Amino acid sequence: MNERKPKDEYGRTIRLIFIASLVFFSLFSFILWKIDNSRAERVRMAALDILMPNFEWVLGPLRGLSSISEGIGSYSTLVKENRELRLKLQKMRDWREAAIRLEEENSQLLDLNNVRVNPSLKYITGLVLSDSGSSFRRSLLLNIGAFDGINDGWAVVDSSGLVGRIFGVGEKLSRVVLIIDSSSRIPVKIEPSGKKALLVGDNSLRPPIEIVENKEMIRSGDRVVTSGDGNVFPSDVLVGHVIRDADQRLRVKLVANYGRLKFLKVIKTHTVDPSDILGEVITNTVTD
Amino acid sequence: MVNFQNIQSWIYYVKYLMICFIILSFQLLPMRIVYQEVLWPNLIYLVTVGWLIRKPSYLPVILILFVHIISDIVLLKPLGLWPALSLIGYEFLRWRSLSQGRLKLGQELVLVNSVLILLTFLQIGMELIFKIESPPMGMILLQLAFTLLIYPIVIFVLHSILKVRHFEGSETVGRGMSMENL
Repeated sequence: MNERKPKDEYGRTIRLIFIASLVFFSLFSFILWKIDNSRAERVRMAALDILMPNFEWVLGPLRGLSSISEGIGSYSTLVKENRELRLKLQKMRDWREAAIRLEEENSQLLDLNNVRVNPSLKYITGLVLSDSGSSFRRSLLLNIGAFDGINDGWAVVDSSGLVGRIFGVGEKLSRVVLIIDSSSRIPVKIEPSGKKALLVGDNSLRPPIEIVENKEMIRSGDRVVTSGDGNVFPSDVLVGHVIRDADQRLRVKLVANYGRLKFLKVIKTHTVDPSDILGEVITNTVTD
Repeated sequence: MVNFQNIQSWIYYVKYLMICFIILSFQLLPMRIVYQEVLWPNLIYLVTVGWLIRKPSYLPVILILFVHIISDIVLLKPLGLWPALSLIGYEFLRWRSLSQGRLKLGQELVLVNSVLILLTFLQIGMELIFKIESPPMGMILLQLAFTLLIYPIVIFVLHSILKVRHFEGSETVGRGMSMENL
């Protein structure tokens, strides 16, 4: 830097060319990513397959630490919660009895009418490895992948409701785009009115729903379930309940516990056309 | 290339890789879905820039590119866009710090912040041109502001914990911009 010999002039030019070529390399990979997005995403998943185990030795302890701190935080509320839960449990017992009775009655009636029931949903359970790390993309990595038979587009649920869908599968990993991600569009229907609608992710925990007509028929507290349109998602997976925000806009209060996503279930659906992988499927098929 | 003079630079390379690795791991922790209203500042940018201003000869461009590509892959961002743009910014800052010598803290803040603002808007522009869905403007600006605010802390960590400091005169001899430091 201080005493530069004439020879360095030459070195500097080479260096400049070198840097320029690196910049072009990055730009080139960006353009490749843009042009052939699905292949690039597959390459990314393959790279993640190799990379993620290397992060594990840092991620593991950190994950442990944060779950400990979470545990301490929740301890204080535990006593109160316990009391409430006991009360609820009392009520639930009654409901359970009623539900079992109805279930029996229902199956008898279905049997009488010869109704064919949706074949039981099968699922694979995976552990959440990491989240996307960016505040703008709401997605997760699961520790199950093509090896476990995961396919693109399948629905992902936690114990209570819909969480997202598979978007990118690696050998041992898969990526889940959450329904709150701003690129997510899920066809839903609202019960009991049966209205079809679209759940539009907007990066908030209360995603809005878009309905074309008859908004009056929808009330707060109505159940929102997947409609199964587009043959990507199984139908009748619970998403949440309708609420109205301050602007009278319809939003969904999700039932999935986004604060504690740890074990997620991937629902196997067999109707996915492999040519439809990665995107567009849902948005295209629901607009009709 | 590894002789005993170079051991020092290798220590710096390893330190840089480690710190970036730790930053990435923190960003990957699957606990923040709910708390994402707290935006992550662009820590890797800050560390790299602080490094380049303090020890411009001890951070090869290949290493920077490597870290940025990895971060793009892991954080599920558009591959290669930010590395391409930020490399230009980094090399400008490296050149600035090599040729014009040590900056005052105020100058450094202004320089680093304006480069980041410029790069961010370039990125938004590129995303518009290539029709990539970019996050809402408010979030970008918030993240930008957050990143700008946190820079002094990053400098402090670099200076006191990682011992990445300005040259002390005698160190500089024989380490200019040469092929060796590519």
